Formats: sequence, structure tokens, C-alpha cells
Amino acid sequence: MLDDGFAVRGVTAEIRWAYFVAAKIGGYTVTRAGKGIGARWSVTGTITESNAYNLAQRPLVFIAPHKAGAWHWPIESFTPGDGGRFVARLGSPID
Amino acid sequence: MGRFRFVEPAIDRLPLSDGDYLDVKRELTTGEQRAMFVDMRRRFAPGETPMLDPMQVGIARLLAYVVAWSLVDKDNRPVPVSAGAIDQLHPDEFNEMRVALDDHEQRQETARSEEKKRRGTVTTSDRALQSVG
Repeated sequence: MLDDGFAVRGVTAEIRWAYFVAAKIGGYTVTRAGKGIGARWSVTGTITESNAYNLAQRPLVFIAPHKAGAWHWPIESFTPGDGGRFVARLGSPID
Repeated sequence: MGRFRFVEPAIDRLPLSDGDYLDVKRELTTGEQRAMFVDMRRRFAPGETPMLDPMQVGIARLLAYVVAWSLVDKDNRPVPVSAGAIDQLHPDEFNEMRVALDDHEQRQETARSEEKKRRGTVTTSDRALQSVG
């Protein structure tokens, strides 16, 4: 899966509620603090397009595409900021 | 308290022949339905009447509903759902999917009618249809 010390920056990603797109992301950074089971994941980024209804639903999942598919993280808490910026605490990546 | 009127995300698996399947949305939202109708239309100039494009109708409907499928390529690699992949299907396979989706829509329509009967409600659109009929 992901190496220790993993952090990734990307240009496009999505936040989904089930199969609905709740937000499209233009620029994000996923970081991990700690290792193993106790690792804490978070993401910061900028929302370029959103559906307020879908974004208010739970559970939400952060999806970051990569060459062979996409990484999926469950969103544990979501905090919108100014100018489309947001911060979210993530759970461990879903296989 | 009012009734819940939004579409909940739910996926139904539609079996195809030889163990294949389509995973489809149980219902489309208003936005998804609108987008599907837009995708079905032929491009038109301002002032012209929009017309359905027969080339796009079936594909637009499949793309609106299908969230996943079991289809693989010759090397047994999963093929993502896309307009391009649908265009490459053998016509018989496409027709099988179309029929499966027709049946799915009919089941949902029947379920909605039953639900309306159970609630004993007639909606504004129902009344409009009755007055036209």
C-alpha cells in the first residue's frame, strides 16, 4: 500500500458521498503524521466546484486518482475555509 | 413533519448473461436526469428546437445509470465504464444492457407508483397528466 512517511500533492481529486460528487478539488496535499495503526491522516486543498447538499451528507470519501487507479480515504471531519479552502481529517486509506 | 423527497444513493446489480453484471443507480436525481437529457440532444444553434440524437440516446442513458460493470478486455483487465467503451460493444451486448436497464426503470416506476398508492397521494404532475388524458 503506501510507504511510511507518505505525503502526496495532486492537482485533481474529488470528495464523494456514495457515488455522488460532493466537491471537485483543484490542488490538494494529503499528509500523514505518525506510522502504522496510529497514523493520523489529513488533507488540505481547494474546492473548485461543490454541491452543498451532497457535501452536507455523511459519510464522505476523499478520492485522489493515481496512475493505476485512485486512493480512497474516509473523511472523519471536514472544515471549510475561505476562498474554497478546506481541511479534513482522514481515516486510514481504504483498499 | 414533511416527507423526505431527495434521492438516496443506492446501487442495484443487474445480471447479464454469462455471469456479467451492471451496477446501476437505483434512481437518477433531477440533476442527473437533466444532464442525461442534455447528452441525448443533437447540437443545435440558438433559436433552433432541440432534437434527440438517436446516436446518443442509449449511450447517454447507460452513462447516466451505470456506476460499474464486470466487463473485461481480452487480457482479462477490467474495462472502466466510458462512452468509448460502450461504443466498442458488440450491438447484441449493448442491446442486452439496454433491455436490462429498461427492466430496471420499469421496476422503479412500479415501485414509485405503489409507494404513491400506499401514501394515498396524487401529485401535481399526476393531476396534470390526468387532465391531459
